[in-house]
Amino acid sequence: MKSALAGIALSAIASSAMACGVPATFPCQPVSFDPTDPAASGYRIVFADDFLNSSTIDMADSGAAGFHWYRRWWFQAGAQPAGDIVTGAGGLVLTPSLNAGPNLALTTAVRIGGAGQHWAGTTFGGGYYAEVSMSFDGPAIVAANFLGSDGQPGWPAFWAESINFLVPERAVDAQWPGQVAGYTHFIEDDMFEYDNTGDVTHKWGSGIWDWSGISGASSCSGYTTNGPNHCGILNLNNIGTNQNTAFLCASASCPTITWNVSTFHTLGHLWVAGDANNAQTGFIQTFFDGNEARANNGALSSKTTWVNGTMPAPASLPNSPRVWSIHDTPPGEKVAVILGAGAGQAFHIKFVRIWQIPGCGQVYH
Amino acid sequence: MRELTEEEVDMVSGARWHHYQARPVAAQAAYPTQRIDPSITDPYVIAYIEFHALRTDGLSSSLVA
Repeated sequence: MKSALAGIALSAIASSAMACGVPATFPCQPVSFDPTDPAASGYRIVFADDFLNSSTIDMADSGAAGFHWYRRWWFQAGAQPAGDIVTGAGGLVLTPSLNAGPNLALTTAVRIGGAGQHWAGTTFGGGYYAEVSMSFDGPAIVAANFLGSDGQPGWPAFWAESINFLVPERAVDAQWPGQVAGYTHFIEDDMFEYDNTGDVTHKWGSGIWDWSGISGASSCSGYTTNGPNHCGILNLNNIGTNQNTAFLCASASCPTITWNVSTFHTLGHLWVAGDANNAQTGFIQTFFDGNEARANNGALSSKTTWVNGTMPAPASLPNSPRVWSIHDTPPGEKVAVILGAGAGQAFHIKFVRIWQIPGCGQVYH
Repeated sequence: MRELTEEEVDMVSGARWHHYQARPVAAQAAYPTQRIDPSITDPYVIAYIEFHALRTDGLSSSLVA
């Protein structure tokens, strides 16, 4: 069932790298990262889909392992209707007829019942470079005030969420060690969201959330949002050393972006885990059509950093360098990659690729 | 406190669709905006935060049986 695309691309890129005299081994911390040539930094494709046909999608909603994408909803019974998903030579066209996620129509992992692991599919840990080639009718979405045809809000999104939280058993799987039972801690990395930042022709949303707390009973202060169910820290510059990178533009000059169905853009999102190779400093950084995306109206790098180490108590997390380091925390934390859009919004995807440096990062099934 | 200009009202209204309409079905109660860091005043940023908080909170309270 699984496409052989990943293997083909992997072989091709590995051969290309060797032909160019690229070293055979690379540090987990890329010294100089070129978003147009991740292989030059040692990255290899570990997951890829060009959506040439639907064989990589669990169209029958079987929940069986081996597919790239699953349409079963995570938090309610049912699944994204199969008719919303069209594949072909041009890739995927995802047009949700309803947006129950929200913005969560296809994911790389699916919940399953029974004992043991509570999901099937693919998740990722320890860093990656995630790419999506995408297009959509931006002006139409803006004109509809980001409301889908079902009257519910929605927008094209490419994001990742901790599988530990996605599963219904989250109170156990996402447990913050040392805290009372059910106190969760998990990451949400919103790599791309075409939502309302007030300047939709130049910017898009791109935020990383450090979430924690007990559902329905969280009591916290000093976070970006303080419950009532969860406490969250977004990469704004309002708390401690948090960087203001929640809204990005395509480059330092913040050029106008053409958002229409015939103009594909490549969004790349680099996640480097903090470890001994980089003084425990992990980060995320975003690229758009081959250039580093920029924050703060183009003035700042899109890089958001953290430092791995002993996690402080929840009350001390907001001003700690450990914020977002849960993203790297082995062995449990891992993310599913997600595609979604509002109802009636045709989200065109030419490809999704996930790259990792061999030995740096993990792919879980 | 000064009154908002018409332009600002439009801006806030546009951004607040998150707040009033984006919440999942399971989170029908209005999100307590006062729980957001009070230093954040940009209505778009507030809306962005609200949406994500509502999604996380709402989803967590609508578990699959």
